[in-house]
Amino acid sequence: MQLILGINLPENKLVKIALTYFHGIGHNTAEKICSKFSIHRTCKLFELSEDKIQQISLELSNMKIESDLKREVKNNILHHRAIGTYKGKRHAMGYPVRGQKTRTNARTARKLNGRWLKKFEYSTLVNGATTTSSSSFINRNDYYYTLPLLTHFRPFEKFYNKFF
Amino acid sequence: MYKNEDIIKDIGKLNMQPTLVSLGRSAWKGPFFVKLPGLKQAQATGTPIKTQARACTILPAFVGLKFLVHNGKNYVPVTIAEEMIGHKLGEFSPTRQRFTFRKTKNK
Repeated sequence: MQLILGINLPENKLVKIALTYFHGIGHNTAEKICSKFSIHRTCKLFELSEDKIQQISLELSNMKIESDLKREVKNNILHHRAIGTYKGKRHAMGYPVRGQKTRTNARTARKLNGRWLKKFEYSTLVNGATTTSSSSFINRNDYYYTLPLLTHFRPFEKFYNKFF
Repeated sequence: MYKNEDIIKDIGKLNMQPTLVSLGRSAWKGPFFVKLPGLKQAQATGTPIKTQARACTILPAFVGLKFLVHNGKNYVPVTIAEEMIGHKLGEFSPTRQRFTFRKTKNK
């Protein structure tokens, strides 16, 4: 087994396959990394020199993968829940978010959506602060709350200031 | 009012994200925006703005205002916070009721 950034990768697999063991790296990015460091497509992981492995691990440490990526995804969902959008509500109910049907199927959404939100509800219920689960609202302290960058609005300020 | 300079000071502390305006719409058009009557009055006195324009983007100038957004039947009250900038008004007034079993009045 080869350790890169604290994750066990299988030695006997191709490099581009082994790299997909990281959360956040698919076949596309794995191939890009291989081509960047000129690794042959039939090259296996144990055949790599230590220099190459160091180069790869340096490249990976600058990318948003594993826990960083997971945290970002979680944070985006919590953002929707905290401001009370339709998307956030669908997540909290464990239903599909993008208009899919719920009469049948919707298995993936039931499995995945609202994982973190349900934890929040549980914690609030233990404290006895809130009784109804649907009305439990997320505090700003519970997640890194995001403010929008206003650069997209700035060029158009003159335009819409007419209306004020 | 919402000032950009205040945010730039805190950029190190806060987690910033590009607004949703930038996604899926060409930049030269700018955010989609509907002319809302009574905006000036609302900024001065704080009266809620009653609209059916669910597709209107929430602009930085809307922060702190109250809206009554139509959901097809009623007007849902929405107060605008800083984090809502870049979303649409309609995202905050759900159009569907949650399904519940109704007890019949007459047996």
